[in-house]
Amino acid sequence: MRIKKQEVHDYGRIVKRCGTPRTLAFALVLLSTRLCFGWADTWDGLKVAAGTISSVSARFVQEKHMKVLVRPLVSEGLLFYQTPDSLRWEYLRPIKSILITHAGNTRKYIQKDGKLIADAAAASPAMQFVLDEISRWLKGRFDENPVFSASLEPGRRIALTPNYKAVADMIRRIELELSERPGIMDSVRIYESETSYTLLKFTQVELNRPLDRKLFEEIQ
Amino acid sequence: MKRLCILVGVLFLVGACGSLPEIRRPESPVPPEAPGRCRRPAIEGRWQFQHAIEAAFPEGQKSVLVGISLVSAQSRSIHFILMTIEGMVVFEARSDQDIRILRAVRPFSSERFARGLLTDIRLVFFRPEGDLLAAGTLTEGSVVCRYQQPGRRVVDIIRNSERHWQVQQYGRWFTEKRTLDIFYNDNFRFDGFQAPHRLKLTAGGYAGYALDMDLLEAVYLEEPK
Repeated sequence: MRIKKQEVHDYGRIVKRCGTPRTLAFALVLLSTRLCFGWADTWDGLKVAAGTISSVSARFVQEKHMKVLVRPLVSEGLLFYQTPDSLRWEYLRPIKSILITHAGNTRKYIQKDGKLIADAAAASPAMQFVLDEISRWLKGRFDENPVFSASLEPGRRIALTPNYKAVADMIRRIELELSERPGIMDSVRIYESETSYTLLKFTQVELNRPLDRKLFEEIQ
Repeated sequence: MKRLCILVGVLFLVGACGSLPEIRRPESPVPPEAPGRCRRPAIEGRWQFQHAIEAAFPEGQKSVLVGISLVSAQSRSIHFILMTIEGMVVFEARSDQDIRILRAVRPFSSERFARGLLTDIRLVFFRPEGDLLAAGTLTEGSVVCRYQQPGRRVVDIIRNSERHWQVQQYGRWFTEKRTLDIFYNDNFRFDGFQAPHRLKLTAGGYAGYALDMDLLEAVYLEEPK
């Protein structure tokens, strides 16, 4: 196997440049400490990272997996979030749909025969529950909903398990995978059963980009 | 006073009983099988259909959901899933010899809803199983085939045009009526099978509902070995 030249390290020269081996060892220990205690290792770390975020915009792909389905159902959309509580969750395909929560109001519109029509599901307690949960996650407050027990797991993962049977009948477990970049989620997996789950994968995530207020006020 | 009560009672009973639409120029004798002009395109093999469904309920609420129908012509089975756009399953049932509800969340949790919906979907893809009672034309000229169904129910398969079919189901005293409109266009035409691109289900009564289903995707599946 051919090894690229820049990948071959001359440790003797590194030691010479950095000083004694003991100094190098100290530097390595410091570096490893920094790597071990990343932003997603403690609940406080998550809140601190989220505290620096004023807005999020991202694309998402939603995959619905069920044992009976030959291939997953795939939807695509856009997410916009502005602190403190403005959220636009928009599906582009296969069904165009816009969900906006802003200034304490939640509205949902779905395209039907080329027109966006108001959808009754926006007012449902289940939808409000989901929106509150997403808003909580974007603030880094993963462990603050008494409905779920939250646990931090290795590999920047958070597992949420319901504390109440009524919720567990609907949602068995939620797994959140956090990005290397502080404050960002890579994916969310919502299990309804062991063989049925919804996977949300986020891409093109931008933090703290100024967002037009119209995104949360107008259906367009 | 007593006579008046009896009269009101009789009038109420007469009013409660409906009647079937008249069939003109009925074929006589009734053929053993439905004539070709009231046979809809039949499904073959296994298919997975994805619909965008607008559901309307008696309170006037409307909501759009996603419907998945896994249909097998060989086993005459249907596995139907209703979920929110966000992917939450609110209704799941399987229908072959019997109907099994696997998951049901309000307002989709009544057994009446499940039975009605699965019966409707069976009639979209499969021919009615009961005996042919009559075949002919309705007053407005549409072709009709009338079938006997279990529980003294009757179902009319009506061809309004090549692209618009209708299934009318009548309850025991012909009072309860369910209407299923089936529309075809050229967007979902496959080898030997044309899938309806739009379905409209209307169930009357106090807990009635209407489902307007637009076909998003039709996938042919291999039969399990």
